[in-house]
Amino acid sequence: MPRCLFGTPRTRRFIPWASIAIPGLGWLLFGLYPSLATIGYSFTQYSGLPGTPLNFCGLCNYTNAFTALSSTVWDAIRVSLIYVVGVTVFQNAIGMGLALLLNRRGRSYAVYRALIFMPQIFSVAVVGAIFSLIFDPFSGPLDKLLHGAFGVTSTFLGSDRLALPLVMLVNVWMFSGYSMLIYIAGLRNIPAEVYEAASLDGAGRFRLFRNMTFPLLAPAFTVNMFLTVVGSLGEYALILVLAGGQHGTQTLGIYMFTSAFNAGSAELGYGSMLAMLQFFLTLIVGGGVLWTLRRREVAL
Amino acid sequence: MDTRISALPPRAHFRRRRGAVRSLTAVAIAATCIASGLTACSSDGSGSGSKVTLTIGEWTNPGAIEFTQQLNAAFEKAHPGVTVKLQQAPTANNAWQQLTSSLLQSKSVDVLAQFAPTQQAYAPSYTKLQPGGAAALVTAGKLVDLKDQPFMKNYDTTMQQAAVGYNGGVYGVMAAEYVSTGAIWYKKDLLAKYNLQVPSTFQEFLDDCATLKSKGVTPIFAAGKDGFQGGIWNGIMNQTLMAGHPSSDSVKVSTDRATAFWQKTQSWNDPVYKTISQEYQQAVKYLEPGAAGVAQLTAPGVWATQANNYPFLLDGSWDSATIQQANPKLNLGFFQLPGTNNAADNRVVVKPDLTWVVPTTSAHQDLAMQWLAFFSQPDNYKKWLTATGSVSTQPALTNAGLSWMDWLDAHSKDAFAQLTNPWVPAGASTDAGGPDFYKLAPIGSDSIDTILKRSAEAYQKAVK
Repeated sequence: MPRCLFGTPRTRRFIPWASIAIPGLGWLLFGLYPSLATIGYSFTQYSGLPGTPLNFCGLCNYTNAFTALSSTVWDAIRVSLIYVVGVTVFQNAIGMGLALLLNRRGRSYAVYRALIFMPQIFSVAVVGAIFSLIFDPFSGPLDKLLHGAFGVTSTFLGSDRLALPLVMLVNVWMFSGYSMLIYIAGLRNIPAEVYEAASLDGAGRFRLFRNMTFPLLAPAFTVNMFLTVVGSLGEYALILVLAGGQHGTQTLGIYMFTSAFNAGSAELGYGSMLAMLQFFLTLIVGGGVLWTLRRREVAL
Repeated sequence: MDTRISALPPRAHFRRRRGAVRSLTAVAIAATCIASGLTACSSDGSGSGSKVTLTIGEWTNPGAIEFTQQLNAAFEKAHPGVTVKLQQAPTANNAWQQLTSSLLQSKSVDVLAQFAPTQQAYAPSYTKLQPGGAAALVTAGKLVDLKDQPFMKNYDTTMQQAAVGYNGGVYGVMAAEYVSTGAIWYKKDLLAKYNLQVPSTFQEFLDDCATLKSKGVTPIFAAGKDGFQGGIWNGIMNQTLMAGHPSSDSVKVSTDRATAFWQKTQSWNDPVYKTISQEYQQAVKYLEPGAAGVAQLTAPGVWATQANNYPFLLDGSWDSATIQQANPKLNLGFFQLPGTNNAADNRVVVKPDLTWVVPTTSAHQDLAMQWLAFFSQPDNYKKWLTATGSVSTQPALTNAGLSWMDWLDAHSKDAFAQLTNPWVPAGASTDAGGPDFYKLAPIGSDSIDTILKRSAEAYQKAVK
């Protein structure tokens, strides 16, 4: 009887099922269950502390958010959308620019690409701590630089005008390298013959980019745009570490986190409702972007 | 039918069976070890030679953590076989809240630090507000009533009732209270250099600031990025609203105000809040202009190291260890901002803070009580006061002997508990809870009228 590495033919039949079952169980426990629980909690008044009562209140959290209580939800949605648009536009523009610049052979280019990608591997806490120190108006180097060069000072993350753009800037700095890599992969899929033919027809660099490179990068563009939109909509850790949601940086994600987990006044029920709003916002914006860009790809 | 095993040669078959027996034996031994280990863990520690782990949860405060570690070592020495494990997390970014939930969920904590809920956490039933934080645990019956524990006799009963009492029970030991609103650290040498005294009225404070500014010194430093400038507004508000009331009335004043707000007979737009805001603006104009960008994480250290500038720091009285670590040579002092122009009304405002609670899920409740009794012994409690800079909650101990506490020691006798805010429903705009100091000029750009009108409207909308 033939023997094999993974047991008998009978036991071997279970290997694919076991392979699916283990991650499937993980998904059920850490993905589906918390998601369903969040939906359930969003209809309750619940502090979130283990053992405390879970009072079902129907749509109370939803009606409070949109009718009876505050404009805070609308403000948070507005800030979230500004954040998404700003980060998506700049991260993709810079990522694409870097990809065009560094998509060359040579060891030095590999080093540059690695350096630009590096912030992606740092934890948000580390990046947040580094930039908090850089933006510190007393001990940070940026204030000294500004003061020395232009004679002006700023409170940076303590400024209502600057806090949100600065957090967006850090986000773009951290993830542009990731976008760059996807664009480089896209650029390498474009056949060299296409450029040769266009050059022979007399196309300059700008026309090459506009009429050849950018349209042929459409799949990479779609992936990058979608990932950036969804990622920036869900971003809260970086904003929390840098600005704590103050000075006009309270996105829906931050509002959800502080509502659900704030020490002493945590409202997991209300926070869960905000998480549901965040989910629908991601579905609408992310889905909208994906649908539009897919149609563009087909049209091209 | 599986024929593979029977197809093996007899010796191999025997080896395989022997291997299986060996595996079963190993599993049985491991199971026995685990079972005996669990038995030892669930012991209450009374039996000789048994091992128990008592778990304490406490948020990170350098002085408090250092003291607790020393206390735990002494407790272990006095209780052979007991190991005390300290779990800690900073309060920043809600890390402490996460740890609390994890410890309670896993039923693995015996003594847990909580912020004192105070009576304001239990809003009347007509508000339909649910208690949060420690109050939610109390009402759900998840904390042990400590009222009859012998060590509670060391503490002021009224104070403990106000901080962590509910329906006749006392569900924790409020071990620390601090000056939180209007708390001002000062550099004694710098005040002496300009012949200034610790002010006793609001006007004296403004005069001191004006003098310092005229000498080229920026008077006040604060972590404006984290809203510490609000301490001035709240300090003035507490002393103004408590003027003429005995200190023991603070819970009543808070409740009356909260009720009046809920019933809409008072609002943030009332003249008293306009006056308080005007005084706030008079004081805040002496604040370091760049303070809005300073985080609390760095503020005490930056302030402590600038010996010739910023005589005053707005910060809670819990930060003594952080300040002294940053500059051990600093001649440090502390006082409460005088919020009115009648010195007699400018009493110390204390906020109940760290409160030890024992969850009903604790597997070692007797040992937890022994730990709390050990903590509450006057010698140990005095060390706690020294390490944390807390105002004493044990009437027999009035003085921690710290040099920076000289002013507090002399003025704490008439201290009153910090007034609590009106009840605000979940999801209400942050403006409903009071003025937004991030937006109020000169830190922000909004005028007093704009800020107070916005708060009043937000509150009206929230309780509609």
